[in-house]
Amino acid sequence: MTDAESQRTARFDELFRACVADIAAYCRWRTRSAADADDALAEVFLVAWRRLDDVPASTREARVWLYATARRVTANQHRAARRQMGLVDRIVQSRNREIPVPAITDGPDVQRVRAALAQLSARDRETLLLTEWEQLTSAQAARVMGCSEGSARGRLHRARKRFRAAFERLHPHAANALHTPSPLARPALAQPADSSGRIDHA
Amino acid sequence: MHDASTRALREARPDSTEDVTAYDALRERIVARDPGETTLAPGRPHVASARSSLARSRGLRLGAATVMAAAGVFAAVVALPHISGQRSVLTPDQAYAKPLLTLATHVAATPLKGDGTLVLHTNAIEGKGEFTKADLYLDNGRYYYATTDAGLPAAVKAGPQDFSMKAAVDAMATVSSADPQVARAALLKAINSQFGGDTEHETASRQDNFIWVSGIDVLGAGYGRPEVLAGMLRALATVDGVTVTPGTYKGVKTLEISMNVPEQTSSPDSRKRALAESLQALMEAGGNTADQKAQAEALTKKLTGTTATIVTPAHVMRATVDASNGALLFYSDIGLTVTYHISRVDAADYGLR
Repeated sequence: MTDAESQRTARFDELFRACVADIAAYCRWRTRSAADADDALAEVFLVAWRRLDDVPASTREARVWLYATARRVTANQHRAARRQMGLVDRIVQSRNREIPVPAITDGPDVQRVRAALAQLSARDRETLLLTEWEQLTSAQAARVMGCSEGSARGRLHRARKRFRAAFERLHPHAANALHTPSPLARPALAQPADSSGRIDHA
Repeated sequence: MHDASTRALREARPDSTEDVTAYDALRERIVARDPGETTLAPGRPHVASARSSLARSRGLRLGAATVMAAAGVFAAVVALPHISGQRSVLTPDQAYAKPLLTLATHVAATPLKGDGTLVLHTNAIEGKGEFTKADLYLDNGRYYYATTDAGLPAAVKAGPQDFSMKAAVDAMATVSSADPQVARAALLKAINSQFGGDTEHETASRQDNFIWVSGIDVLGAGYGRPEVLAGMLRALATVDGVTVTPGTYKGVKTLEISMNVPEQTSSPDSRKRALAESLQALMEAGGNTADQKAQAEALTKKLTGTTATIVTPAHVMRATVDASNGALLFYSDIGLTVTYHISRVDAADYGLR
């Protein structure tokens, strides 16, 4: 292996180790099954490997680049999967359904959170989850979603307001009738690469 | 905000897998496939390329699942009708479905009246009955849909809907007389702009798949817009292995456009199996120690699970069009038959200008 190849591999390894857990988590909630998430994760990092020269040098920016790539990959994957299922799903699926409501399986208010998320539009839900789950700023979320920062801020403000209202409307016992609180503590959310990656409060 | 709803939301975040070894195996596969290869040119047989490079570099005997995993397990997500070869070595006559080019030239010279296209279709799903849908595409780009024609006025009143193939339709309108490869590239670019992704760098077979999928939608929406239909037919003509068979239906001359889909094996756990096999192969190549073997076996067992494999048999996808104007008449895929009734309409009939 030449020096250039070694450097390339070393850089990819660094990027992979720094970001793979975050991107894997993101792929999980953007896809409909664990197998789809595995596929998406593989494709995201294959794209990164192929286009390593295009990946921003800083880990913080590279992380955003990977999220944006993962978003495209999962959107593309959804479309490809529809081919396998035949035209049926393409015909019956209504718009704004490309991003599934995440299959939340844990947490003290799992059913309530899921029900509240389901009441948001796909775009609002995505914006909210990019900031609350992936800890991106509005500006970073905007880059991932390919919209203006103003749009992202607007969506985030609306999403938070609607999520809170929906969550509070849902009575915990009614929404959570089948839920048994998990005795296990949840792992901490992935931390942003640096202070500029923290949540902003639009 | 740090109220109860926010706390609950944050705590509900799905976990990523904690199996770091599985991630390492993925990293290994990506890096090992070919350190010097940074791009895959369209038309390059992706799977074969990955197989040969891995086999060279590691001296492994790789099974099909391992190859798929090594090539990027995502490759199995989409139906792979065929692994096409280097299309560039083919002459135009060999490379393109000529009847589609002939039809493209014909429809391009045959504009139809009206300023919109109504697509009524009945979808028969094997074992699940039928349902109908009515799509109204206006030439100005607006789109409305309802379950029946009778429901369209209400849909129109509610306002236009998003049409997921709008970018593709618009793109095809610009390539009605272009070289088929130009039409193909324009369609792939439009798919990227609409859905994201990296379609232009996919394997030829996956590109073909995207073009076929998009083609069915655009053939319906583009009826009556000669430039759109001609562009789409030109792009479809580049799909490797597409065959065109003349026929008749109720006295109307037809063209049946067919595409073969080979047997596909998939299951919810198929990717995990591929991952496990790849991991095992890599670990055996790495040192073959007892510990490594045990680790590989444990991980393989954990990842594989017991879910049965699903085999989708080889089948043919068919689109039948009117040979005089390109109107879509039928579409059939495994378990599905769609019957179309397509006509040109005036937007004014629906209270639209």
